[in-house]
Amino acid sequence: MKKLFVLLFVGSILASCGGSGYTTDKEEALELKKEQTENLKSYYEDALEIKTDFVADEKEILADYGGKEETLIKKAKTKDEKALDALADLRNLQMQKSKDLRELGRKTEDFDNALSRSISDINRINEAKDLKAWTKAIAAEDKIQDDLGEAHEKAEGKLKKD
Amino acid sequence: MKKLFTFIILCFSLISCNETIKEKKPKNQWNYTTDKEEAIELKKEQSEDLKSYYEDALKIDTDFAANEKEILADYGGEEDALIEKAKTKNEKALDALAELRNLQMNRWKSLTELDRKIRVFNNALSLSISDIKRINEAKDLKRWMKNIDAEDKIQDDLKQTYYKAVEKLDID
Repeated sequence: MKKLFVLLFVGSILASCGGSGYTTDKEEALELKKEQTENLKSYYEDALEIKTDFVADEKEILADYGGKEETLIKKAKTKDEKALDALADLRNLQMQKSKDLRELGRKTEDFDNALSRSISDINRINEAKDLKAWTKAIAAEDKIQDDLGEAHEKAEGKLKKD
Repeated sequence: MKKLFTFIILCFSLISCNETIKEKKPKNQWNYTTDKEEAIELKKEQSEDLKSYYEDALKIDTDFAANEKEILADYGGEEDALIEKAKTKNEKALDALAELRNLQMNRWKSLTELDRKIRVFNNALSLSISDIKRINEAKDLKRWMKNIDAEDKIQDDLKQTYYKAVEKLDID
């Protein structure tokens, strides 16, 4: 039991020291890049859910103002209590959306940061001729990630139109 | 006794129900306001918060600079020299490079965490000030704008002092 406790303790220390994911190993970096692509799929799914909820709630708040923030602002200028409350609701909603998106980004930011430094350093400490296949594989993942980003933007654009 | 028990249960249910509603839709969760005086008070609070923010940030930067210096000691204090050595696949240099990157990531993480503590407050205040300008006539905001500008000046000075202190640390 004592041994297990020591093992868990050492394990947790090691995990906290070396858990950054930084590497100068090409193959390892490529695996991490593929993992990043997988992570992005669920990231965009979750982000779209947050944005969809936001658009629905925003629509509800702006319903009495023809769906326009400018109209709400004009009414708030007259110090109309209902409009001032609606404006506060809208701002709180916008801040909540920003917060939720930041929280979501936070889940992968350490991983992304470490991977970006890893790729940069691998490029710096190796000869270009030795990186041809590796660069091609990284570029292929970048392409997939760009496509995911574009699909997300399109879905987001559709939300605004609807 | 049974009635008293039912009454207590009912009270608890009502309280928890009310709290759920409060949690779901807090009125002023982030200090957003369209009240001019309240916004000035928050702006002053922001200036006060910034003092300790920059103090803490400088502490993170100072610790980082000391650790960076130690890692780069064998490489004339230059990252480029370390990279050159790492190119030869020298194990010690590769380890030092990993150590340097972890240190940089930790610094970045600590600064980001620090920033997070005030970001929501700052965001709300920035929206408040913007909306106060939009829903009031400029002529009614002259004295208020002067007060906001005065706080902005204090905050700019704090930022410049911080930047100068970081520059002195000579981070690579």
